[in-house]
Amino acid sequence: MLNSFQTYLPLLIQGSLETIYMTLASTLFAYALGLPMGLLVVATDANGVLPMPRLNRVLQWVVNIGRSIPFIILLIAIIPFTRFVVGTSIGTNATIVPLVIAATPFVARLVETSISELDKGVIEAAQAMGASPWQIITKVMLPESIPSITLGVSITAITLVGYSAMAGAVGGGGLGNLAIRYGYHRYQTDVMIMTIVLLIILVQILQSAGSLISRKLDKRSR
Amino acid sequence: MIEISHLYKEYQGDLHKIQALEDINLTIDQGDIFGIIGMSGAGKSTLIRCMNLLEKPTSGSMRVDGQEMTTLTDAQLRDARKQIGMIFQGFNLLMQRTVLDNVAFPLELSGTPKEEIRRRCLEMLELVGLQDKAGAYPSQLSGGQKQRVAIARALVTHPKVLLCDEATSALDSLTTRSILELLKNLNQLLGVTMVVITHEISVVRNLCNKTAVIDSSHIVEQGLTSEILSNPSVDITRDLVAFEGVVRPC
Repeated sequence: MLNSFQTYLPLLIQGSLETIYMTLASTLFAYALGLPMGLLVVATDANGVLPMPRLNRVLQWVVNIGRSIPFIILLIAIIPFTRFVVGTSIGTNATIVPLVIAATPFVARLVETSISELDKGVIEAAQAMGASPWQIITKVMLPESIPSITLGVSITAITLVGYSAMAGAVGGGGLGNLAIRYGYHRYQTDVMIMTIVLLIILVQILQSAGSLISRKLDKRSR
Repeated sequence: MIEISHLYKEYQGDLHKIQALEDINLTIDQGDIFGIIGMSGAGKSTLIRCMNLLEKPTSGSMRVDGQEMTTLTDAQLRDARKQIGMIFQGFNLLMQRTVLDNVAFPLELSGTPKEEIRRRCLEMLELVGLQDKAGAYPSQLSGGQKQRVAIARALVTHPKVLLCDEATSALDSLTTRSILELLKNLNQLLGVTMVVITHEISVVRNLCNKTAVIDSSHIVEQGLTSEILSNPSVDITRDLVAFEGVVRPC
């Protein structure tokens, strides 16, 4: 095993870096889209700060549909779109497109949950002080739910590690690709085990970092 | 300062409509500390929430400082609300902001310059006796201190009216006294009219110059606190007065 470890070390390093790159890039883009979407879902709710029931129903639909499609199906189904965006449908950059599309509704739901955990009284107090819907979103909802949103970021990143491994099945690169090519197709159990260990370490790091940052940011726990 | 006439509020229940307020008529004068007392469910919280339109009255008139509140547009209502401070039973502070930044919040909303915000907030914190807590977070404060921060936040904009919705109900009796004392002083110092919702007769006794008693959606009696407490004209007031000694000997 030690011998094979040395043999496959360059591959394992490359795979890990690819997985980290895919995860971080797609988490970033998923939040760029999902955070505003989640805020919009909360704000346009019938009891929200900017009630727009019809838009809210459409958003709920989009989020639910996005979350219903199994990732492996989505990955293949949107290949033409992926090719349109990045010019190819294989490799790490191509994988980021379906990862972002899969994670955006997930992020929107997480953000919605984080904000709905807030004490309604605080939002009401801001309304009583004459805050506009936009001010309530930017000055109350977002900053007050930052610790919870931070935990959501690590949940999303961990989910995307798993999804990116799936993308390995269709030439997406990363540790998943290694595990399938060497571990599965070539029956190299040692490579399989090494990739799994690396994935476990990666997930542990993401989880601990998320919890630590959230705790550091939360002014309630001092 | 506040004139309420023929105010009704009904909620759509599951089966039928629920009358929360029926034909409320009240006049609260400039500088009053006006108590509104009643049992749970009598409608007192709904009434105070109608004063800044957190609840929209079904019909009737609600005038605050001469302005009819029920017909304002959203933008006009936000401006009107900046003239009406409010404090709550649950304090409703921003937990991720320091004490100073909590007090600064309403000034930030209206785009006050930074240096002025800081000066006015520190001034206000001194008034409520918390100048040494400016950098603390709400989670580090006691209940009474939290309510002091909420009072500072509500008054930093120099509003004409302060609405107090069960502001001392979550506090022990000693802390309640100190908060009532503070409210009384601020009323005299700043001339701010106060509306105080409570279920505790000791609160109106110690704080309010005028009192209205609300029972099952109606105002059943109103007048000077001294007269109402010494000579109650309805059963509910007699019950509340008699109950005081039983629940809280003071």
